[in-house]
Amino acid sequence: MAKQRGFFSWWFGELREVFSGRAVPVYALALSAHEVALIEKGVDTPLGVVDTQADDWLERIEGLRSRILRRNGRNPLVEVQLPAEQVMFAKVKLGSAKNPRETASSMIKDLTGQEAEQVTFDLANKIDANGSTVIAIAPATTVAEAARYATDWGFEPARVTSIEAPSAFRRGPDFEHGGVKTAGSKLPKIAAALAVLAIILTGAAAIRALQHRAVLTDEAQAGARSIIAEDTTISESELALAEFAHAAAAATDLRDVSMPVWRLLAEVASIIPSDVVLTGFQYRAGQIILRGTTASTVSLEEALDRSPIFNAPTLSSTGRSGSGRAEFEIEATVDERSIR
Amino acid sequence: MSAGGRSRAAAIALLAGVVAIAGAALVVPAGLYWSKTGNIINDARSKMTRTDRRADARAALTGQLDEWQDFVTTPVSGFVLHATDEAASNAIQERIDNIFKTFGGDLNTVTAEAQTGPRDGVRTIAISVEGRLPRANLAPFLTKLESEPAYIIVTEFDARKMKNETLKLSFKGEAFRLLEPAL
Repeated sequence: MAKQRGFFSWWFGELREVFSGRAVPVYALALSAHEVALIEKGVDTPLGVVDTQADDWLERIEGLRSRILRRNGRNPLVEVQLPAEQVMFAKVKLGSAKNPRETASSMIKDLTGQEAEQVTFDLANKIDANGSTVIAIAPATTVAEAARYATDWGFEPARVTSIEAPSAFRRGPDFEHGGVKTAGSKLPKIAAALAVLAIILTGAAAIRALQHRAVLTDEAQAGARSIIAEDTTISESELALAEFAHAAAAATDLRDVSMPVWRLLAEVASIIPSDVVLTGFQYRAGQIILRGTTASTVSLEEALDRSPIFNAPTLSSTGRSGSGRAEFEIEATVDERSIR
Repeated sequence: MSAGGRSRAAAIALLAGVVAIAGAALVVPAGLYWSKTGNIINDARSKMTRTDRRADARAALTGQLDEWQDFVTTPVSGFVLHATDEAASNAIQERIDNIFKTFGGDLNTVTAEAQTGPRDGVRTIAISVEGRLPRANLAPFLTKLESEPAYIIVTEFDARKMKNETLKLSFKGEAFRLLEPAL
């Protein structure tokens, strides 16, 4: 338990130093009539006690100092605690004085019978229900000597206080001792305040973001729930449309790939020699049959052969008419691809 | 660094550790919540995105279907625009008769019979015609017959010269009628 209290005393002391910008003593040098005790604040058991009547009491104090010197690496910062008999506590009514210290100073003579310059005092921050304030008074020489002793022994007296104090003094009275009392820097406090502000703002932003996220989640889920399942899939609809389009284009598709008879007839009319007289024209299953008379079937065959539409003209029958002209029946295949 | 500096650094590090642990105690559950809700939001959004895409695709399909349906109700589709096989056959016969008359010909026989095919949803009307036509009108006759809707695909054609510059025509062909779409 003592170790834990010691740990927290050290930790909070260091942190207090950091954030107050002022050295805060973790150790206390408790003075009494014949003893000097080194105490780790927050721990009941002292680190060591030196009897000032002993011959080597200074060496022993140095021994105590060296113990905490190893841990801090500098003249140990200490709180000097005066013995209870050196400090007087009294209750005074300061009323609503503008300067409570001046008012209290004027009461010193009545309280102690000594001049105000001969003592040093501290006022508690608390005012009790009767409007009284606790004042701690100690001889100025005692306080100065205590601080000087600490300095002489190799300690740095951060504050001089009393071993015992009423609860009105939370950390004990703080007597002016004329020693080094470093003013606290504002920067660590500003930094700490900014850090706290940043943490608060970050927390607020995080809460707001989470609230917004929750709303967004609800909206997204509601949107997803509102989706109505469809009866048919897109692929089914696409297939149905494709089948319909295939049927709907049937007439135009078939017309586009069929050779119209008017075109065959126009081709025949344009290529046959002028002496040919046609008496018959037949088209069936990709083949035409021409019948008629001509002076020369050779020129007719050549003409059909030159046509891009007709292929492989073949005379299937020939004869001779009464006028001496050749009667013919000639076949040729139709290149259906030529329509494209 | 001095022992005092190390001591102070240790105190600050300890404070930072405590703050970090306290922060983690708040941040970790918040992070888990954030991650969990992120998955929920992503799932819901992707579901809605898929639905939107499906809706867009369906709208596009509907638009295409409308275009095709508009197309098949106009003569440019090439179909015989009659609701029944019988009506379509009659219309084809009447049209051929009119073409013969237009070009001074005589229609002897014409038959039009509905058959299945050539594609699903399409009926073929098989045509067989015999008639006579002035020779000089053969070209415009064929042009009129084959080029204007409803289209007639002539599959067999026979023209023989008769006396008086008249041709005896016989031909077979096909016209098409679209059945009701099964959509």
